[in-house]
Amino acid sequence: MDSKPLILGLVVLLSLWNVLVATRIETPYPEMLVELYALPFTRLILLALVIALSMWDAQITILAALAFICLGADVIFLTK
Amino acid sequence: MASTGPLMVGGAKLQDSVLEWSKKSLNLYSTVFMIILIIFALFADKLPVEARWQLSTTAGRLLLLLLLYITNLVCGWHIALLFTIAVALVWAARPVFKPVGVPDFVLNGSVEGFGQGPNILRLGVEGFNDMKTTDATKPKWFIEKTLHENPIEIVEDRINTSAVQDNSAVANGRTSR
Repeated sequence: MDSKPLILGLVVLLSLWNVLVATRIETPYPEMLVELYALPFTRLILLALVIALSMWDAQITILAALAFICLGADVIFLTK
Repeated sequence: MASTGPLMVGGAKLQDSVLEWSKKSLNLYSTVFMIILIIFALFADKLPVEARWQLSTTAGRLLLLLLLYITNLVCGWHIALLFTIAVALVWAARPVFKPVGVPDFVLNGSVEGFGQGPNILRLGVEGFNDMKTTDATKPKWFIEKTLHENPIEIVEDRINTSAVQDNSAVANGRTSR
């Protein structure tokens, strides 16, 4: 099965998400995501997802890692 | 039945063994390093405030970038990406002000504030010593509500200033104003 459309879709989705969180000062993260991010287990799952993606496709991995960094940085800033 | 692999004796055999061992060791070291990096990335904001400050200075950033380059060369891009995430989160958790206890490095290489007794103890950021704090009042400010902040104390924002004094004797009437 050709996974190119799936990769392209994920790239577009993650790119849009990164643009959304990077271009707005008050990032509209879902409240539940911010609360869940406080738990180490959730962060571990997200990081494991990024690592798992790195076995599949480099473009998606980099975009997912950027999204993870943005989320982490924003939550660190907002909950400081 | 003849062996399909190359026949190696003496030095060549030893070299092959060493190479195989180094590959296995690198795998082991990479795995351990990856676990350390995962923990580092998960708890980047829990690092001591002095460490976060030092790693966010110019020297600290250059050191981390050098380590990132070495990690990429030795362990590959997967682990380098993990390292990048950890480093980015450490930089994101950089303290706004210089923390207490971080010495000032001066140009001649000596460290100001070390070994000079308790009289030279620095209190927070230079110029912000002896600040008074008052209890937080109710109701909360709009910004406190917006950012879900619950301040216990508020630092007084009044600053006493004085006019510039010029007592030098060089001023005279010929000076154009």
